[in-house]
Amino acid sequence: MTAFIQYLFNGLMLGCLYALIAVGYTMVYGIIELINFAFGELFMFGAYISIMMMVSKITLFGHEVSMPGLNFFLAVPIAMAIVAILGVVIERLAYRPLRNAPRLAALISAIGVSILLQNVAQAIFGSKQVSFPTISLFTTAEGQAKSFQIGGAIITWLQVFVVGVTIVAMVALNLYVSRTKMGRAMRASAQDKRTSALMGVNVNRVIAITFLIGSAMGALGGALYGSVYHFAAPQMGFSPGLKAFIAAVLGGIGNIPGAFLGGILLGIIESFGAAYVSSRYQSAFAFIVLILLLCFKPSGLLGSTVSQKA
Amino acid sequence: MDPNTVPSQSPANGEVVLDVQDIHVYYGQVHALKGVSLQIMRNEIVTLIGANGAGKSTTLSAISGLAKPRTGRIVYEGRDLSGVPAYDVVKLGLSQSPEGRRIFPRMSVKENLEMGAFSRSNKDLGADFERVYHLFPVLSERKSQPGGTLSGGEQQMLAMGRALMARPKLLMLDEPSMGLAPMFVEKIFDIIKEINSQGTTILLVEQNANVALEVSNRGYVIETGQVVLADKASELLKNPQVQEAYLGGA
Ligand SMILES: Nc1ncnc2c1ncn2[C@@H]1O[C@H](COP(=O)(O)OP(=O)(O)O)[C@@H](O)[C@H]1O
Ligand SMILES: [Mg+2]
Repeated sequence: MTAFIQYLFNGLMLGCLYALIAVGYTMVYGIIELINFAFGELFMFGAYISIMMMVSKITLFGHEVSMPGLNFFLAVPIAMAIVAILGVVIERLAYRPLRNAPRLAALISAIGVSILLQNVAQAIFGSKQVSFPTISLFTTAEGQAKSFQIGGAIITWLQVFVVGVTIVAMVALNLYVSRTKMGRAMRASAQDKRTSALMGVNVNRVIAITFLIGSAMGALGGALYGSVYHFAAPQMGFSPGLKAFIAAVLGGIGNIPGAFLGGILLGIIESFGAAYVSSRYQSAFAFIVLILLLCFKPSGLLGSTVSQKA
Repeated sequence: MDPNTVPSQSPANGEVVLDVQDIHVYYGQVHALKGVSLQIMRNEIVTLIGANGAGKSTTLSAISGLAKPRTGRIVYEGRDLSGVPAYDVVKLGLSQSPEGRRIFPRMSVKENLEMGAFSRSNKDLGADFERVYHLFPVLSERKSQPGGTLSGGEQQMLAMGRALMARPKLLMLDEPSMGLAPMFVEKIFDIIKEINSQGTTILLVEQNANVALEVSNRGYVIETGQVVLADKASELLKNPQVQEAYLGGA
């Protein structure tokens, strides 16, 4: 039972990290039918920029540079803001010119951006991983993670924080999309861009805001991931990015609660699979889920059975 | 008020709201509009009639800013719309109920109507909802139903209601009677007259040329991207060529 609770909670936390990237995938796909593979790399930049803001010295381009040494809770919003802008710039330069091109062109552009960003990160931060500073609020004087026990399972306060922040972010995002005027414009643009323009919606601006939000969420995920696993590396976004994409498909692409549900389910499946089947195949479970899903319910758990497009 | 008993204004007098000057529109290689010109006076109802593919919808798209004319100008209330993007045109008081209704299928009726008011800075939509629900009581019964689940006729009413939510000075209706049961067609035209009498200028595109001309002050006949005839609606109704081509030879 102890082990069960432990794996459940570990999976829940991992799933939250997937969900934070998955919302970006799902929102962007919902509106322009593009799989923005670069979200994995924006996640990675979220971790790196958080580290940059938190340390007092860092090596950039092989040179030591002094840094502000900010608190984690200040560093992460700054990282989210910077990555959000980066996401908007990517959309403007790499995707908007291809808006009316065949979809494959935009997809190839997305893969190109993703590889480019990995290389940029490697050039700036080096190819070796950088360690993520400990967060004093979640660390004891002896340098251990502050934790508590439920039925013998050890749960750290940092894990609780990750889950809590993700839930708050998801609820806020869902309210934004379902209740606000801009959220309504997003849903309208996802259904019919031409008619949205006729209503007075600046669709390009809506798409930019979608990238802004998706990128900020990805950066938040990266910062939390870095703080949980204590590192950042140029390739760190690849695997979580792929898993998050599966999570988005699992939940029903274009659907925000679906991305959350898909992320959590995937995290838990991976955690249990690794624990009870074999840890060597942890990543394989995500792909098994994807294959089963595509066979039996390709529209995803919360996706409508009719086509998402009108 | 029967518009045919009112002396219709000729383009020479009255206030010109919209002045379309010799516009040419292309879709890639397709030369869809080959020099269309037309004027609309304040408070008129003007109908464009023409066969399928003549260029009626393209004319409305050009006015709304969705299709940019390669040459020619569109002047609305003295302002050249050339550089104005579609999302800003509606803010100037030009709204459209597009061909094929284009309802947002996964949004409720109420949200579709709210989208119609998107361009307005005024947040108080109470009176506007009331007006639309008064004109189309069936929409008020369907408020929270997704637009995609409405019947064709109900969607048509929703498209009109949505266009009204922008509080347009010039309302463009592209085939508002399409898909409606015959008993509703007359009702829709009564509503169009009512909207017009409340002070909205109307540009109408119709296949149902007879009924449309009955409620209109003036009409333009478009053939293969060009205006071939422009006259008072009452004259067009009497014109033998128009009768032959568009009025079922009646
Ligand atoms: N999106 C488009 N792409 C290419 N050609 C188009 C497009 N829309 C309309 N056309 C062409 O432009 C011409 C005018 O069409 P349209 O304005 O829709 O006519 P109408 O509304 O009078 O039936 C037709 O020849 C039509 O085939
Ligand atoms: Mg048409």
